[in-house]
This record gives sequence, C-alpha cells and structure tokens, in this order.
Amino acid sequence: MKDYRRSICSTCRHAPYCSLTTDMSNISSCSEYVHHLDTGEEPTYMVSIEMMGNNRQRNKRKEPVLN
Amino acid sequence: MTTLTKTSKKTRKQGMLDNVMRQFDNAADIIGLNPNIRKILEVTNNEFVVHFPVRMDNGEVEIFTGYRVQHNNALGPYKGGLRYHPTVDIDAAKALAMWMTWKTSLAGLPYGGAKGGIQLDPSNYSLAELERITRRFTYALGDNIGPELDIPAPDVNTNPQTMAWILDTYMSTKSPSERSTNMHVVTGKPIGAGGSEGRDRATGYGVFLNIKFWAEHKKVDLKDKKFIVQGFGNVGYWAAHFLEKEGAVMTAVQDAYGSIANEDGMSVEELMEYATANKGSVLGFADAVPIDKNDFFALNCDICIPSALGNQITAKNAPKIKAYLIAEGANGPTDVEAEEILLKKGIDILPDILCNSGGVIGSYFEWLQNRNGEIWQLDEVMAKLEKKMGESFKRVLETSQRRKADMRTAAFIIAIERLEEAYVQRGIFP
Repeated sequence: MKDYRRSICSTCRHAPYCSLTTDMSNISSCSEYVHHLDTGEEPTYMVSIEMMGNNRQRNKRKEPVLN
Repeated sequence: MTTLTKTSKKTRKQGMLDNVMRQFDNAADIIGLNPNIRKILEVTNNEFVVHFPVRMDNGEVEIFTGYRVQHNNALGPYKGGLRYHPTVDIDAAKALAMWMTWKTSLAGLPYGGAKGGIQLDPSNYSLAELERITRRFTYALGDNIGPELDIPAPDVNTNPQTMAWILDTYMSTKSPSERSTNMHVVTGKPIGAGGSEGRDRATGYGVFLNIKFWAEHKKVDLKDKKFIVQGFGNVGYWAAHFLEKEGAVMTAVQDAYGSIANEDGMSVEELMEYATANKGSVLGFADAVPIDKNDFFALNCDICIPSALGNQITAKNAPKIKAYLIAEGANGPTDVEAEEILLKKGIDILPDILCNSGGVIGSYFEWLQNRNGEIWQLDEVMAKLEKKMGESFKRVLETSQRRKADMRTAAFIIAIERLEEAYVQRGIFP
C-alpha cells in the first residue's frame, strides 16, 4: 500500500480500490475507514466491576465482566 | 516523560489546519474580533508530547510517542478524540483540536477543544499489546486529562474498548473513595462501563434533525423527497434510516466499493442488511443498479448527504449538482470553490460544524449522566438531542439572516462570538 503522507488512507483496507476519492494525500476522517479492530475477530469488552459502578445492572450487551 | 512544546511562530498551514484557520479568519474578520482574543484563539493552550515504554508480547520494550493538544478551555473542559495512527503528530492534532473548540462552542456545550493520539499502526500490535500501550499512555498523560479537565473520546482506530481501558487505568490511579467519581474522564464507553444509550446513532440522527429543521423552516414536506448518501457507515446509515421513517426516499448510495442507484428508491434497512452480509459493500444490491462513481453527485435528487470524507464536492462536480440541499455529514466535504458555485446556484448547505455535531452532543450527554449519577433511556437521549440541535440550528439560521451570511459563516461567527464573550466577561489573568 502506498505511503499516503498525512492521511488515514495509509492504513485503510479500502485504499487500493476506494471509489470515493483518488486524492488520498490529506484525509483526516472518513466514515468508510475500516477500524483496525473491526477487520479481524471482534474484541470482547473487558469491564471490571469497579468501572461499571452504578451501571452494574445495565450490562445489556453481555460484556464479560472481569473482577 | 512529559514535555511541553513551544508553538512555532511560523506554524505550517496545511490541509486541515489551513482550512480551519481560513474559516476562523473569515468569521473573525466579519465580526471584527478583538485582536487580543484573536491572538489567544490562534494558538493552542497546551501541547503534550509523551514518550513511554511498553513491553511487547515477545519480551522486548518499545518506546511510543503520544500526543495531546489542548486548544482552548474558555468554555469548559477540553474535549476531543484520541486516534491511533502513523500520521498522528502535533500539526494534525492542533488542527483537529481547534476544530473541536469551534464545534463545541457552536453546539452550546460547556467544553473546549482537544485532540491527540499515539503514532502507531495498530495492525502491527496484538490486542494485549494495544491494551498495554493504551494503559501506559493514560498513565503518561497522568493528571493532564481528567473528567473536569480534558475528556478524550474514540477516534480513528480507537473504540469503546479503548475508552474502557483508559477509564480503568485512570481510575486505578485514584484513591478508592474517588474512583467512582471519575467515570466521566472519557466518553464513548461501552454501555456496561458507563456509556450512553443512543451514542451510536447520535451523529446520523443529528444530520437528519438538521434536514428536518431546514425543511420545517422552508415549509418543505420531506415525504417522497429523494435523497442520495455518500458513505453508508454509521453517519450515512442512521441519517438515511431516520429520513426514510419521515417518508423520504433513498435513490442512491456511494461507498468505498462503488455506487448504486434506483430512482424509484431502495429500502435503507434492506440495503444495510445486504451490506452487512456482503463485507460492508453496497455493490450487488438486487434493488439497485451500479452507476459510474463520477455520476453520483449529478444524480437527480432533492437532498444530497455527503457523509464520508472531505473534498468530495468540488468545482468540477458542483455545477452538475441537482439537489437543493447539501447536508454535510462528513467533515469538510465541500471545498471552497464548490461552495461558491453552490451558493450562487441557490443551493442551501447545512455546514459540517453544525450538521454533524450530534456526536459530540451525544458525548456530552454521556458525560452528564456519569457526572450526575443518572441513566437515561434511549428516547430521553434522543429527545434531548433534538432539543439541543434545534437550538443550534435556530441560532445559525437567525445569525445567517441577520448577518446576511451563508450558514457556514454564521456557524463560525456564533462559535467565535461565544468564546469572545467568555474572554470579555472574564478578562485576562492577571
């Protein structure tokens, strides 16, 4: 992949074929940018009891809770 | 290992920083901004560069460089994202931090502007390494961030998990009795760790609301109005979702893979379902045909929503645009020359700083809930967002009419005047 200086395109999976733009020299934000952590396996949220605080009963997304 | 860098007198203006400074200068000239306050707003308050060691999975130690730029806090704690990317540096962070100052000011939030991140390519590190890097960066920043000082949020290559690590690390540095009072040190957290309902759709809903307010003002019924969306990510999808519920019809979509159209309309939900199952691509959707990417903005429609990236509407394609409303879901999608062409054609532009501010308002609601020990339901969050965005829209419209200026200029005027007022009333210490 080309080294697009000053552009987030340098690490975007779509860059080689992106239909949105050919000028990838200075892109600082893009809704189509593929988040690194979204490209492989989804990470599980690791939330300690302390962090949950008063929201303890609201762990609707079933994140694994680490003590 | 914290160093404070001095701001160079010859600040290199390039790309984003150049744009931000140009828009600031334009609005400052129009309102005749106090020259002393202009001096303050032209520079950043603080620029932190931290170098910190982290042990890698193979046992070796690597040194990382992290940045946090705090532009201005006249209106409240600094607020802005943290990104992990090789391009992160002081110049990039300065431009984005300044942009956040104007955005939070316009939105009427009690925040200033900040931005930062770590210069790295996250694909080179394991999840465990990223966790250690994040935690060590948080420790290195120390009390230069805080729930009432500087509140980071997710950005490029950082997400709710990253925020949860920052929160956990920051809280761990506090005494047990203080820990639970620091939940609002970051926003964009997972729901289970103090995140807010509705944060996922806040930006897209904000784009929709601005279109709705504009339509009410112009007495335009959104039912059966045709709209096209560039970018079918979080912003584009949710904006389309709410527009469709209002009776509007999505006739074309462009994403990184290509462009599709159906002038009779296509279902937003069915397209999202298809794209999700098709590695995120809208290409191949049965209810639409592929079109040339260069024809996208020239399509026949009423509303155009560029919600992907900057510099998409240019002098080249602006003359061909048929929509009478551009709602900027992305940052800087319309360049300067294109804007002149569009305004001359009588096309209204809902500027990015207003149109996509739903995200930071959503963050503010998360911060408020944590700060006040409250938990709001989704409908409550959405109702408050509508109220807040309605106030912003009204202020921009009124200023635009009173100053006989376009909405972008009006938005910058409001943002800068609010900061000017704070400085005039408070004075300059000592």
